[in-house]
Amino acid sequence: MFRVQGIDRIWLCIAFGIFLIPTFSFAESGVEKTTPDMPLGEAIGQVLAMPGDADYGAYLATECVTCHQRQAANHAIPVIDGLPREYFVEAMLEYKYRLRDNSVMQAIMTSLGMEELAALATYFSAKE
Amino acid sequence: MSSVTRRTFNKFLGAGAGAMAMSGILRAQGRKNVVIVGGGAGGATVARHLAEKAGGAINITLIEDSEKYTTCFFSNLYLGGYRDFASITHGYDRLINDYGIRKVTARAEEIDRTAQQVRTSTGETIPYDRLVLSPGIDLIFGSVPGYSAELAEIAPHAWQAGPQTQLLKSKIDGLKNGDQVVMVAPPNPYRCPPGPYERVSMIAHTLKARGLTDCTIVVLDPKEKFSKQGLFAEGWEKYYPGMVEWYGPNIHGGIKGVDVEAGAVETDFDTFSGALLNIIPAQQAGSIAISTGLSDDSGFCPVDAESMRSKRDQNIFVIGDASIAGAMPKSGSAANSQAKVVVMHLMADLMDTRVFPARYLNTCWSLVETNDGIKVGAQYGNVDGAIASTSSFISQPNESADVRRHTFEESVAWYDGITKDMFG
Repeated sequence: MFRVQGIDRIWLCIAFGIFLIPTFSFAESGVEKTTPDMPLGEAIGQVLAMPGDADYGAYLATECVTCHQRQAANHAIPVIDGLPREYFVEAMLEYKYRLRDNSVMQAIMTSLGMEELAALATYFSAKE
Repeated sequence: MSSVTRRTFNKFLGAGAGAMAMSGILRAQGRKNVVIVGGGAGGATVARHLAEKAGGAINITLIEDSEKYTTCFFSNLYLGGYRDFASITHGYDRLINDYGIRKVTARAEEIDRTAQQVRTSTGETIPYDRLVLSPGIDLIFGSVPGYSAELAEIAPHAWQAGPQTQLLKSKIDGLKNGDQVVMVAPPNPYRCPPGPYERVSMIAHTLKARGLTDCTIVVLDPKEKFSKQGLFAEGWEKYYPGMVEWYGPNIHGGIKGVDVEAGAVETDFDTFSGALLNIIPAQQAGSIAISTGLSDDSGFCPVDAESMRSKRDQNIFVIGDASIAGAMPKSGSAANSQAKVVVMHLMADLMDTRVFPARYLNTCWSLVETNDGIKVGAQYGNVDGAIASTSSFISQPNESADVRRHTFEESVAWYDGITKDMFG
């Protein structure tokens, strides 16, 4: 599992800036709305700058909560209610950029645009 | 109810107290009715999520003829000895007590689309403003000549979970070393694409665990290929060498029929005898969807990709195995996902809330052997009027034991999650 936290971020942004990240395919069907050929750090900044539509987030979140239940003690699938906005956006984009290693989450993030991610971050960060 | 009408009522009653009482009744009557047929992954999810969103503003009735619901998903793990029957069986108590859902334990016998009402097997007539049909599948027993609902008591299909699953388990437990199991796999489209092959793995697992490695499991498949084929083939070779034989149509030449009493399946190529026959016939939408006129020639129900609304009736949504959901497979995971889209549209129709673009998701988990889980899945959206995949994933051959164990653990967490999502 290749996990990225804190200070490694800067390092990774530089590394991926050099290697011109996505060698993997986005936008298989034209539904994909993101422009992923920007460095990860820039993508994080862009999503965090969006207010995030909480109503939209509430709808999108219904998909997440099938697996990410609140009463998820002792689970291989973590609780995501109440995750801080910054952490949530960063983690989700790491899936999108294939820096986090879970194929379910990578596929979900591939089909999720920036606006949708901002909406989800707003929704989950406000949840108890 | 218009204000003119209400004033007319008040005038007619001619008393303040009476008017107040009447307005209370009008409010209660003004609440919209949503009726859901089928209490599985589609229907139960709609019930619970709609109750959460509507907060009592909508009357929700769930019509399901079983008292408790046994999930088809994870029923193979019961056959493999990894789960007990109680752990895959769920009650509706929390939906009733915590969410205020009215559960009607009966079959939906007839739907009157003009009067917008459902008649149940217990003789009740239930009106609806919006109807959600999630009736699952009906088996077409005659698709395997010689097979029937009665003969399923001897050669179980176990493709609708419940007593059939328990019957198959008891027959597996009764096998002796050297016995042969013959499975007839279903043609496309059918419920749970990897299901038959996970079942083969689970039967092989229990036989091997009991030391019955001279047993064989023969799969007679009407399909040229099947879901996660490479991954299953790899697992069978690794864990159950010599125990599993799979024959596609280019080898058996066609399945001619079954003689259940004789324990034999006849194909163009040969007759295969088994101490246990597991016959999984072709499938169609649950009969209530067909008798209501919502299906097409395929036996399943066409729906709008954006909302899962029936293409035959604006007031009815069809979800889960009964629907034609484009590229989505027929699975509990898919039905649960479609339910969320339907709840959004029910709320928009009845409570005037916002509508967002539909998103769907499916994940199919399978267990090959202890701690060796595999998965396949995808995201879907409305692409030019059809539900199409927008991204996907599948387990890879030769993954490490750690990855496979984690996939299994994820699948267990998923099961806990989705069943809480359905039943509260």
